[in-house]
Order: sequence, then C-alpha cells, then structure tokens
Amino acid sequence: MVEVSALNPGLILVFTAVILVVIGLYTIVTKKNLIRVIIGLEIMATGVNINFIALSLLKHPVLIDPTSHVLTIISIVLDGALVGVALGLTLIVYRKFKTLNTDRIRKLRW
Amino acid sequence: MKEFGVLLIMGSFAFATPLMGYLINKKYEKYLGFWAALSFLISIFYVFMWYQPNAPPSYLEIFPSPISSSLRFDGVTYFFTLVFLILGFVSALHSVSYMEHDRNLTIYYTLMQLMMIGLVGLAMADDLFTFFVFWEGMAISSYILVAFRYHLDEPVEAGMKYIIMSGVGSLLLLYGISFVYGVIGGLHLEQIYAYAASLLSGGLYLPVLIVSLFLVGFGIKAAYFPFWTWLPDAHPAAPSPISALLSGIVIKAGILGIVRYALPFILIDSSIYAPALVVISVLTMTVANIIALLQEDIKRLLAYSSIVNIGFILIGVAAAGYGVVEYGLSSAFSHVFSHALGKGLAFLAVGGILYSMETREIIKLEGFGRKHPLTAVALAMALLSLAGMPPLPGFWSKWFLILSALGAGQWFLAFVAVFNSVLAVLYYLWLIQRMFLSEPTKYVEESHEIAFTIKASLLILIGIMLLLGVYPQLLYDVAHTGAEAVLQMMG
Repeated sequence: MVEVSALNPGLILVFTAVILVVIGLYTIVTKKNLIRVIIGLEIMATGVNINFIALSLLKHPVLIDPTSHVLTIISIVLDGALVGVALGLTLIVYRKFKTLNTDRIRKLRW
Repeated sequence: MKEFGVLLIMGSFAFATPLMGYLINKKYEKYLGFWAALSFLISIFYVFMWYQPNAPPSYLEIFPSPISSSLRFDGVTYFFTLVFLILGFVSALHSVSYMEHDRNLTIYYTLMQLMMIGLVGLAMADDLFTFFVFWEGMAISSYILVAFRYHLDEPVEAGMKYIIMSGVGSLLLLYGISFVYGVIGGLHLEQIYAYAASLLSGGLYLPVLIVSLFLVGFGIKAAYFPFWTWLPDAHPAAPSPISALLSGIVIKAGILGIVRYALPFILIDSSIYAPALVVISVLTMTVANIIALLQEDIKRLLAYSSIVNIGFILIGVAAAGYGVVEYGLSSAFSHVFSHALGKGLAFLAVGGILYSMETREIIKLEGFGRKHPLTAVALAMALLSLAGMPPLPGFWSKWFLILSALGAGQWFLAFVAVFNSVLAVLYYLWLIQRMFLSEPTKYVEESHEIAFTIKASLLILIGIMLLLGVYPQLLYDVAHTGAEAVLQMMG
C-alpha cells in the first residue's frame, strides 16, 4: 500500500466521491420534481466515477492503471443511455399527467 | 471455447432484427417473434452441443491484460444460460400473438433480444467490469420494455418508478465494484476468491462495506425485503411475455450476482453476513405473503408471489453462507429453475387470459376454466407448482431448500419456510377454485378464442415442468452443476 498522507490527492477525491454520492441519494429521496431526481442520479454517477479514479490513484500513485479509467469511461456512456431513457420517459409523463410532481403521479399504489 | 458462440449467434440475430423490420411490410412485423424464438432455440441447442458438464471452465479474452475483460463458461454459466434461454424462447413465441395489435414491434423484439444477450452475458462474465456492462445493457432494455405501451398511464408511471429505483441500484453496485477495485486491484473472479481466501477475520470493515453495497445493488434488482417497492408496479404494467421474463429471470440476475460476486466475501465470516441473509429472507417471505393475500389484480398477486419466492431462494444462499455451500447452492439453484418455469408459465397463462378478455380483476375471471380449459389448466399447474404440490418441480425445490436450512442448523428458517408455503397455498387455491368451480361470468362468456402460438408456448412449459417433476434428479443435476462450479472456485 501507499504511504497515505493528509494531502494525498487520491484520499481527498475519495471523500469528495462520498460527499457527491450522499448528495445524490439525498436529492433522489427528498425532491419531488422528476427532473431533479434525474439530476440526483447524475450527481451520484459522478461521485461513483470519481471514486474509481481516486482509488486508482491510491493504488498506483505513479503509473496509470487502464482498468479503472476504461471502466469509468464506459460507465459514463452507460449513464448517458440511462439518463436518455429516463428523460424520454419524463417527457411522456409530462404529456400524460401535465405535471412532473411525483406526489401527483400516483395512480398506482406505492 | 466453442460455447461462447452463443453470444455471437444471439448478437447476429439481434442486429439483423431491425434490418429485417425495416425491409419487410409492417403487416408481417409480428412474425419477427419467430425470428427471436429461433435465435434462442439455436442457442439452447448450441449450449447443449458444446458444453460438457463438470469440464474445467473455459475462458475467452475480450480485451488483453492491462484492461482485462474476459468471459468464462462454467457450471454456473451453463445453468443460468439454460434457464434464461428456455424462458426467452417461450416468451418470444408467446409474443407473436399477444403483441399482434401493438405498433413498433421491431423495436420490441430487438429490445427483447438485447435483454436476453445482457442476461446471458451476465452469466458468462468473468470480471466485474464485463459484468457491469452486461448488467446495464440488460437493465436499460428492461426499462424500455416495461414502459413499452406508453400510450397507457400505468406502464409509464411504473416504468418511471422502475428506472429511478433500479438506476440507484446500479450506481450503488458500481460504487461497490469501485471499492473491490480499490481493495484488490483487479476485478477478476479468481482475484476476488484469492483475496477472500487470504483474508483472516481481522480488518473486516472494507469487505463489510463491499458486501453491503452489493446486497443493496443486487437486492434492488432481485427485489427482496426493503427494496421491492418497484416490482409490484413494474411487473403487472409490462406486457405479459415481458412480465414472464422479468419475474422469471431478470430478478434472478440479482441472485446470480450475489452468488457469484458477494458469496466469496460472505464466506469470510459466516457470523456477520449469514444472519443478515436469514433476516432478509424471513422478512421477504412473510411480509410479501401477507400483502399478496389482499390483492385483487391477478398480475399483482403473481408479482407479490415472485417476491415471496425470492425469499425462498435466499434460504439456500443463507445456508451456503453458513457453510453448507454445496447443498445450499444446489437447492437455491433448483428453486431458481423451478420458479422460473412456474412463474413464467403463470404469467404466460395470464397473458392468454388477457388476450381473450382484457381484464386482470380476479372477480371477473370466475369460471374461466370452463370456457378455456388449456389456459386455465396451465395456470393451475403453475400455481400448484409454486405452492409446492408433489408431482411438480416446485415441490422438489422447496423440499431441497427446507432440507438445506435444516442442514445449516437453522430450525427457525425452516419453520418459517414451511409456514409461508402453507400461507401461499391459501391464495393459489383460492384462485384455482374461482377459475374452475364458479359459473362463468358474462365477461368470460364474451371472451374470444386463444391463438395457437400462445397455446404452444404454454404446452412447451407444461411439458418441461412435468418432465422435471416426474424426474427430479434432472432438476437437481442441472442445479448441482452450478453449485459444483462455485465449489471449484473456492478450491
């Protein structure tokens, strides 16, 4: 393992990732607007991707490990697909229900 | 090596589908269902032809070493590929008639094939990187398929709920994968098993974090206790063949993930994780059963019954966590198979009911069995198998599960399993009694004839169920091949 000092950029990034994931989860759980919920998903995805790069920095401080970077890029692409589908569905929801408030889109029982 | 051709076959059929849909007349679009069914049928024969059970696993490298993404084919792959493809075949056959009045059928069949490729790829993945790519492919196709009838209110709302919950699940899974990478430095199965074997009981906080994230991430897909809220909405809202696929095999992808990637960490210390699995299993079975008793919508009832059965499968995984790995996993896998067949048949039979009368309320279905005997008998057989009636595979797999719980010394778990089996019989028998013993309602009298492909798909599944029920050694052997592969990896 690497000598972990207080100013290690990898460690700082790990904490940034945790904060971003928590902010994303908080947004998804509390916000009522569907667009905000999807933005929460995106914030969370950013946090997770940063975590990959940060852990790669901690593991290999000098050399760059391609595994984590490739997985990060592919995960960004997959997130794009996910958000594309989610936004398309949001559009249909808006046309149907004339609102994006999750409290009023409640024909089904939760 | 040759068995990896399955992905190639399914891939080429899937990429040819949109091309064919573009070239042919829209009137004949619905026959693309036969094309999809053909692809799954060829894949089944391909797996049978080239795979020898108990052979050492074979590998295929996609990207070379520094990036390192590869596929493996072992007993677990064999077992899950077989279950996935059988159900995919009958669902594609069923779709030909069931979806004939819908538009955009080219997109429907392409997405269905992509979802199946995702599922088969999940079973073949050798490292978490490949696994995650196939996982997202499968998940994104299933989001669109749930909301496929977007001119109706229910599928859109259910799809929205599904996409948000499942998206969070995928991201938490990826977060867990990132920690696996941070701790081990690689994502291959061998590396994970080697790390878990080298770990003594000290310094356990990182594995605890990883297992928790995996249990949440896979749990949202598998829909066990606290994470099931999307399932009773999404499964009824989807078209019936897709409900059969979702309930039969997509939720099993979560179980596959737990068995493949979380089990090495769970086995490090059975006093931490196995009790958690027992608690999840008990709560899943009991709470979902009680809610299922109150349902009036037949597809919602079957969706809750899927949650109950995920709880049953977790009994086997928990027994494996206590150290009874071989028998626990064999019983869990045999229940995966028998539940996939039973729930697939049940949803396809309900699809036949919807095809002929377009209602899902149980009250309006009274006397259905007198007008449409084959569909009603298929539904009754599926329900009896799920309830655990002796000559059907559901009985044998529940029997194995309860024995494995007893083998792990979990008397309470075995007791809860028996109690929940009995509780589930209540609503299954009530449904069968309504279908056969009541006079037909006016809705049933007005219902029209059920198409041939729907009947054919039901007959195929009935045949497989009878075969496995009369000859349970076959069920156990296929499941045991999977458990054997996990044992080999543990060394």
